[in-house]
Amino acid sequence: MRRVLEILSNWIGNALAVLLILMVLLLCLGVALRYIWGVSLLWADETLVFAMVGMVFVGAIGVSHRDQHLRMSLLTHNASRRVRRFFAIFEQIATVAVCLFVAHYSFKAVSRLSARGTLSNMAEIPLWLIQGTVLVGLVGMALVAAARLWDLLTQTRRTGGSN
Amino acid sequence: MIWTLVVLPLVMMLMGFPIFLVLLAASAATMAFTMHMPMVALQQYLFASVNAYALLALPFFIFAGELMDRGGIAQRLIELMRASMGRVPGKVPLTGITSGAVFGAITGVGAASVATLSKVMLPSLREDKYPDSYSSGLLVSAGAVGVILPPSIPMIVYAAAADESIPRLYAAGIFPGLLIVGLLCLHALWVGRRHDMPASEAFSIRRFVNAFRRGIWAAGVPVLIIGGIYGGIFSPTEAAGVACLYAFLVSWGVMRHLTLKDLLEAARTTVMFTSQIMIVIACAGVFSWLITVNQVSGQLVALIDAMALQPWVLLLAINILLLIVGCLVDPLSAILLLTPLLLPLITAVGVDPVHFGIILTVNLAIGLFTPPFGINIFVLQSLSRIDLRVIYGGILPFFAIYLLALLLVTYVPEISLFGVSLLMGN
Repeated sequence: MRRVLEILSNWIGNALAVLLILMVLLLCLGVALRYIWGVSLLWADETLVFAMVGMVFVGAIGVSHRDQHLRMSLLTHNASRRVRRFFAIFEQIATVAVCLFVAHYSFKAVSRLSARGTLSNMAEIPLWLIQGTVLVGLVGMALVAAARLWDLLTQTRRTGGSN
Repeated sequence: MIWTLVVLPLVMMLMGFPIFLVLLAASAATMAFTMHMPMVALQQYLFASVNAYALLALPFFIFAGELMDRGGIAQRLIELMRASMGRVPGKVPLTGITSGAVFGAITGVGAASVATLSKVMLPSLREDKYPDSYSSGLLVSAGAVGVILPPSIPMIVYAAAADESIPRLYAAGIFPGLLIVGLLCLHALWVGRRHDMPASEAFSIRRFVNAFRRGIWAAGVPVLIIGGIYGGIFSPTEAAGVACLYAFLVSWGVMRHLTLKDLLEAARTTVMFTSQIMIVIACAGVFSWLITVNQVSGQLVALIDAMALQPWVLLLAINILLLIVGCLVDPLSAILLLTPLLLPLITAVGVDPVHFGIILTVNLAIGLFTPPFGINIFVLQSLSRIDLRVIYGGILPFFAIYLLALLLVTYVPEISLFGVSLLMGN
């Protein structure tokens, strides 16, 4: 499981890095076309924003995998190892529960958009595809947390719960 | 509602849970247990909070900063700063401060400035016999100026949270940023004279021309960004995108310092950093919407009204709160958590939201280099291996300088608003 997540996280990182480079190129192309040929790419701004939204939610899986989410670790920083482990287990359970709970409603919203076939105003991109990235991000973060929870629990069992 | 909107997030935050999870759990619990509205709205607000064109500037400015750091542009700017100065006591610290300001003015990320400054400036400071405590205080505080001078990442986040204009905030940040640079330079000169520090080499026209030739492309970045935005050529988002392309072309094509592998690595780092920040923005969007519809900020305004506080007392109280929060929480999360609560209070007593954005940014810039969790401290410590106690000891005079600047910025709004009227009219 850990290996699969590792590969997936790397793949996501590389794909999103390429997406970011393409976004820069599209933005600069839009600026150049406007100033040189007086042409505006009306779909470009919307596409760029949607690409960023996708980057944020799908990229959050990578952030979870690297355990780099912003947090305030003032109290836990100086806590004993046992307390830190307890908080870590509790955190993974909360992450799985909250992300899957929100993902459930996210799935409902995305299904509705898909059934209606709603398209974006300018670029005419199916909105379920864009809003679906929220769902993907939430499920991905829940999976990473579940894998980490498994690691934490089996580690406790291996060390006889002495930590 | 108090349980789900106040107690639950507070407890989770103290337990060290990720901030996005704290906000998402509090929002989901509030909607599920205390409000009778379809839960599908949660998805809509999560999406809508980041579905904003102005926020595109954030990944692009971060990417531009990454490319400039990896591409050697920052080092050339430092060389240019150093060659521009003559024989003055405290020349090396002065170079550090001005480089921090210029580098900050092209990246908007404090920690990136500190990383570059410490790599290049620390050996020179040691060579001139400056104690490590002074050098570390100087470098971590000079790196923090970057978030006040445009383009500033915290200001983009504040603009999103407060629905303010990014160019107005950038214009308002110029003079407060320069004020802090000026105060830091005066302190460096005073230290140089008082401790009879070496004046280093005299100004040499040949060295300057060489450094200028090597750094001319690098110096084009701030001109491109600031000139582009206020010359009406680009929006801040476009300026950020063009800065990325410029930084890549200069570092790769002209300086030959950047490879395509570096480009991909810089993009990967940017993606992770962007997701890290913007997942909090998405969740904070839902949280602040719930705060608004549940009239939490309205009740706070009524409470402050009832206390009949003078505006200067309120500003003082808010500054103290922000300084404490800035020491404990990273600036971007603090902005997202506090703006929906504080903005109605502050506008109710007649403070301009743009002015408040600058007060908030200066406070949180101080948090970047104050113990226990100032990120600049850890960046310097990881790169220099200077003992944390030595760094903490050196921070005090610079903390005092920033406090003086904060008081001036807070109680003399013209310092911030003059830039807005100068560059954008009324």
